[in-house]
Amino acid sequence: MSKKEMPFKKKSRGREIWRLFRKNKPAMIGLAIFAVILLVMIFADVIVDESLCYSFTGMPLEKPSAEHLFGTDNLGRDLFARVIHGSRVSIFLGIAATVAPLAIGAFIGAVCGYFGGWLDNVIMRLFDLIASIPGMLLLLAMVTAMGVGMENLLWAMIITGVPGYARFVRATVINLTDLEYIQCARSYGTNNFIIILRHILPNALGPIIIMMASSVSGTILACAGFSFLGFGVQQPTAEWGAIVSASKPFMRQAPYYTIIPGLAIVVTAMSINLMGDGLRDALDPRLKD
Amino acid sequence: MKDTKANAAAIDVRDLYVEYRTDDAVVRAVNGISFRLEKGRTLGLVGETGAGKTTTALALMRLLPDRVSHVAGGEIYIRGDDVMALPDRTMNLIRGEIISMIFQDPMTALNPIMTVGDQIKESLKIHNSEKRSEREIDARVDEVLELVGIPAERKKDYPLAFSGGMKQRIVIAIALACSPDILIADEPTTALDVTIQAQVLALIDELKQKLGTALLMITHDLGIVVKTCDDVAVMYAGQIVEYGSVQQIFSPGDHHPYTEGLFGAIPNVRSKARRLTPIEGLMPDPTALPEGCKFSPRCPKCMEICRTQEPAESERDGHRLKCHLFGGEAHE
Repeated sequence: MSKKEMPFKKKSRGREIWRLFRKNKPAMIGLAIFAVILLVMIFADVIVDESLCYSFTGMPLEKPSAEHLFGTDNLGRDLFARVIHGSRVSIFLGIAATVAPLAIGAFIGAVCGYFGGWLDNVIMRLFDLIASIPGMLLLLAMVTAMGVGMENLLWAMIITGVPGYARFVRATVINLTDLEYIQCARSYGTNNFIIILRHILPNALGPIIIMMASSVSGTILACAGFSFLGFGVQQPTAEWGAIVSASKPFMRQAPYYTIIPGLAIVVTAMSINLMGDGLRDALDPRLKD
Repeated sequence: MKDTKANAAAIDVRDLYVEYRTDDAVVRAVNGISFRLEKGRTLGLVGETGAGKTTTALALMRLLPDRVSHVAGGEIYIRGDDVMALPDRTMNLIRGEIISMIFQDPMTALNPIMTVGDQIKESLKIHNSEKRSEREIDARVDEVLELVGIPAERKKDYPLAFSGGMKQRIVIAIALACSPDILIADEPTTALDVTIQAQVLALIDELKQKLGTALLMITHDLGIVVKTCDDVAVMYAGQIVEYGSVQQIFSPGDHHPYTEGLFGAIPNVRSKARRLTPIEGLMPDPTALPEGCKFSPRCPKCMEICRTQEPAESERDGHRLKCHLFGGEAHE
């Protein structure tokens, strides 16, 4: 597979998926919203200076006004700046906590599914053990043990996330392993490593992408939730979950303080969900016309 | 390696047993078969579905799914090398370069998300002992595609863009890419239209002449056997019940009742018979093979001894028969 031919391949397959995706209205709305959120995230520094997140520019709990678009928080910091810059941490955390366990899980799952045998057995039983503890509880226990903070939250999300992804990919790979084209590839001398990398994983990519698309929003919600509970991102870092958490005591005096960052979480999660559904429909061959 | 083993047969199988294991049953798919395939010759492996033909082929390539199946006994030599004893790395080098296989179903034998050119190229890159450059490999891909009658510019297409017959040609092209010494063709025409069948057979024959490849032709079509093979092995329930040259098998004389049954079940233009005579019954359940001769429950000439004692093999001029009717005390 030379590098020259890669763009050709991606284009033709991608175009077909795009055509199907485009027909799906909710998915396109989701894409549009998410595109705006991404732009805001990327150009956060252009929109509003990051230092405003941490400087006390107003009175505590000011109502939204021209000066402070979203009002101010209980310490007089500009909520607009905090929500805009909070998108970076929230979305990065959501994506990282999905992609990292997925990549690790996919690799482990593919190896287990392809080779089987005792290694598969040992790893799967270990994962069963992890999966038998309620996810929330395990996460809380781990974060408590390792200490609260964004990095530890990420690690905890990886450890609790890997078993599920690994099992999912393993099941997909087992179905593929017995297919004739895998046997055919082996019949001309391809070694196991190349078979997994070039023949099995690319063919399992459809379901993996669907799985990923549908879990990013869940992960964003979970991360925000943990920050809300105080186990994740800590003050004064601007993060949506943490902002909502800080707003708790002031919900009655300043409802906007809770509602605006909460809305940001909900809208982001929903737009990703809509996109994920659209992607699933576009990738699922049974729904192809 | 090639020179010292110059005299060895291309394939030499001795008393091979293969089993499939499930939780509650052991399926005896291959039960003690032996055959030799010499260089440049063609051996036809004939039998009904489930006779163990494909299992034999996979065992030769050491491609049996090792989760469920294993070689339970016997030896396999490919050009003098003991296949069972070779390390995986060496086996990977042998597969494709020395022995390769044309798969039965072209619809599923190609990776749907790789261009056909890339799939042919993959094999060439693995077996690049001549240190060919990227450009030379590309040239070889074109050459192989042209060889099987597919325009080289179509190498950038995905399998879905090809018809069944063309896919089969591509499967053949992959098998031939590294000019293997031995080719296993596992029912290469079963999935194809009759018109394409003739083309593919002609192609295989032409390549055999051109490259001097030893060919193991697995089929259930006796017409193909007579057209392409030098020798024939008739398989039933995992055993070779009759073995001989095409002439020996296709001329009248002593034959295993199963072979006679096979011939009775194909239409003959000249025959006055209105109906075909099918072989009664079905292949025995491989988890519970009958005692004695495996064919005895369906055999029209079944004798008392057939039900209790497994027949020994008798041989005359290289014509081997595994039947109580011939050889031993029953023969005279």
